[in-house]
Amino acid sequence: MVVYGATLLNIALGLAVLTIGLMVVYLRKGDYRLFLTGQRTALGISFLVFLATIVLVSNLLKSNFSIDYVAKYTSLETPFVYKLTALWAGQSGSLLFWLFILSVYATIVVLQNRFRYHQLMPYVISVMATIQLFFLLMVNFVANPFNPIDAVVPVIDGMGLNPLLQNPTMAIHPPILYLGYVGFSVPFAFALAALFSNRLDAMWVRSIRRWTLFAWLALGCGIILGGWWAYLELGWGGYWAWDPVENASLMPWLTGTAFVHSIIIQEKKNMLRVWNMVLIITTFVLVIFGTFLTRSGIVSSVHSFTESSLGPMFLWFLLLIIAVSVFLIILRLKDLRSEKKMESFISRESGFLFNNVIFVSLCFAVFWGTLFPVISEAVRGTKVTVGAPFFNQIAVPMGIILLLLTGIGPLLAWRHTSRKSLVRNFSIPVVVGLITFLISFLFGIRSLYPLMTIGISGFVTGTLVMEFYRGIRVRVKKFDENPFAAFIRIISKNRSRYGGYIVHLGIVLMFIGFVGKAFDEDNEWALKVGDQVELAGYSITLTNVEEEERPNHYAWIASLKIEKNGEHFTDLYPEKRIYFHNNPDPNRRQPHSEVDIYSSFKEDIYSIFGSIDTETDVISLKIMVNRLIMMVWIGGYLLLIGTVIALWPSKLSV
Amino acid sequence: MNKKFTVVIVAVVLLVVFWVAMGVERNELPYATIGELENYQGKLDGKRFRLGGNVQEGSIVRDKTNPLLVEFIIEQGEETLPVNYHKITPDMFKDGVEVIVEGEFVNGTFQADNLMTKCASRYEGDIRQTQMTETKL
Amino acid sequence: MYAEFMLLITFVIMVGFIIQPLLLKKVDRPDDEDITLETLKLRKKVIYKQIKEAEMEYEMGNLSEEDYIRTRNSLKEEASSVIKTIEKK
Repeated sequence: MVVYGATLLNIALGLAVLTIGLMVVYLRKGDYRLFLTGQRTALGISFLVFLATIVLVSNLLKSNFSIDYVAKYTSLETPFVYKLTALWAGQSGSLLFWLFILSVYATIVVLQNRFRYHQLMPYVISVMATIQLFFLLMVNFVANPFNPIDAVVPVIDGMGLNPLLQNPTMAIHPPILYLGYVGFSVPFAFALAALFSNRLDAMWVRSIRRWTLFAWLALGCGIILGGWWAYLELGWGGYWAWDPVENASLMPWLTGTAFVHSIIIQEKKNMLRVWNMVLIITTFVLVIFGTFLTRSGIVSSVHSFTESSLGPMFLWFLLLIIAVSVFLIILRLKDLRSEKKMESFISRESGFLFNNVIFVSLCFAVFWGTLFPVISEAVRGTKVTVGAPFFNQIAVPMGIILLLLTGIGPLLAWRHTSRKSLVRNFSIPVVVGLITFLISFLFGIRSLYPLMTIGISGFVTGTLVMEFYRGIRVRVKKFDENPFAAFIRIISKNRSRYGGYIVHLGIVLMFIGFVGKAFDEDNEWALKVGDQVELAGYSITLTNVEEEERPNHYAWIASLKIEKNGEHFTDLYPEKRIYFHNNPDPNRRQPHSEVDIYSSFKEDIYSIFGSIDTETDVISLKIMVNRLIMMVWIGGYLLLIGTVIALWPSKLSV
Repeated sequence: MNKKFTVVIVAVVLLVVFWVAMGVERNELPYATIGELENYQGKLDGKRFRLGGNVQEGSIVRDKTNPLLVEFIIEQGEETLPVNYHKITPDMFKDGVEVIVEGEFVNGTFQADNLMTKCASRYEGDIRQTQMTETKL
Repeated sequence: MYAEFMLLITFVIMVGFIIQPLLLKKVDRPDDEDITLETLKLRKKVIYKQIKEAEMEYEMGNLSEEDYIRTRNSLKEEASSVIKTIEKK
């Protein structure tokens, strides 16, 4: 079966070339049969990719260690689910997985639009096939997941999956992130198709609105899940470290967020057409760049795969995309320019525009900070690292500005807002904001950024609640509905608007969670059983340390009794584990700290078992009290709910 | 109106670029090599450095009664430097791995307050070697 | 053997599926949607939706009467010009 996996990928490569060829000939000759055939070869590529993926997955599940990839990422003791997730644990498998998702999208796009957009589709299919072709080249010639193992003796057992990856969150984080990443290839394909065919009217924007929102949502959820995984599993008590690969996923999300906002202006006002093209192309370029960053090894990070020869190919592909896009935009510049103009600073349009400027600037800052070490080494010859302080220094104030715009935007009217409307709309939210500001000041918060964030959060919440209240009031008056029914109705009748508000509410909660970071406390101790320590009003007693041998690891389990005000509060059981503890080579044994967390709205108690001295039985322990961190996750849920509401198909939506 | 907008946007963008450039200048901490440390001729106390290297095989010494006290040696080719570290070490920290340490000199010894491990190859190690050793056993 | 056989069958079906359109006699290209007309109709819809939204904003109290009337008038103007263009087609 192994051979067939590779053969399937070979044929898929051929079909990709054929598809592009057929579309090119069709566009010259106009023989519709060629287009129909091209449509089917396009489906054929995806079909073969599905088959190849199935072959790899079945070999992973069967533990066929004659395949190099299977032997590297699974072992006989790897649990079933994680044999499956091993599909995206390594370089070549994850490339195939990328291709798999791309093929799912390509299939949907082809089928969904077989009777629509006749001018756009040949180009859309060609662009999608080109992206598939690139990844097919990779899996065929550079990182083939079906390569047989290069061992003299038959392999009895594989190396097993990294224990850090054996976690439910980690099982779904990469696929969701990929769904988002790859999802942006569809709007990108439509954008290029619009440029190629010079159909730059409102159609292409409409055709991709859903796709964009979906990709944006998936990317956002992927990022949040990644943070959650880091928090639960990596054992340093945080969720975001400005790691290059985290940044790589954040960058397209930032430009994608800008795009999600600015296409609203294009739909409504037919403005910003050049800008939107630039934004979606940039987003896709950043997606490919992110994939490249993870795989090339040019920046070091927890996420990166081994250094490989993939780098140069990715760079050429990036160059190709950028060159073609820039050429097309310049070619169509005259047709893209819109005759409409901004009418006033105090308008919804200008609010969106500034939101865009800040998002893109922030993206640039992140890009610069991520690549600065590489650039510095190349240009000045000195190695430097740019750490979290740099990113925080830039991102925190910009984030606060964006938060502020979240509150201001809905209060501004399109075109121009008169002073009368301004006073009417702003007075309540501003008062709410000032009150929250004062309250937090009275509670003793003195640092600038937290105070600003809390005050502005109050202001934004004021805006959002007022919007809901006013909407409900209208329906109650007009249709004599009860307030709850009215609440449901205003959402279901204005999905993108109120869905958006729910997303914004989620963002506010996340910012509150970020503020909590400023009030975290932590400490580390060396403890023996019976020792008691104090942190943030809790007293922590190490009551016991047990040992246990489990199927694929050895564990020491610390029992911690947490007391507050002399009363029993909770118990925590952080573990120190050694995976592959039976491996004769000590360097292959993998220590792992399994944290234990007590979570509440107000704060998390986060315990890390650092190490144990097996002779003296002294352990090192770290306890962190992380304030308001749960708000980040709840905010994430709201983001999901709000976007799903906005995405939900409705007959009314134009 | 469009002109005014352009002016404002250009101003904002310039401000951001300036701010970013300043930020990088202020926050970058250059890597030093162990060899470069000799240029300071003993006047190292209180100076902050970031150093990269590999943990020398067998050099990790953990205090028996206080596992938080760790001493190890990093090596860069021929040169070596002893390092003290007083916090919980990352899981990947072991003999031979590549580490980045950040800290300052206190009474002539390098006191690291930040220790990062680079999992150079995650799990993509050379399977053949392990396999061979396993089959031999 | 079984697997090989299944793969072969799948492959033959796939090739048949792909080349089937080529075996047809000349197929006419479906008429292009009249893009300009479609776009104009879409534009009309979007403008109407905006008028409704402005009305809602006004009822909610987000727009002052002055703002509402101005917005509505300019949207209606735009709508009527779009309708005129559609009728000319």
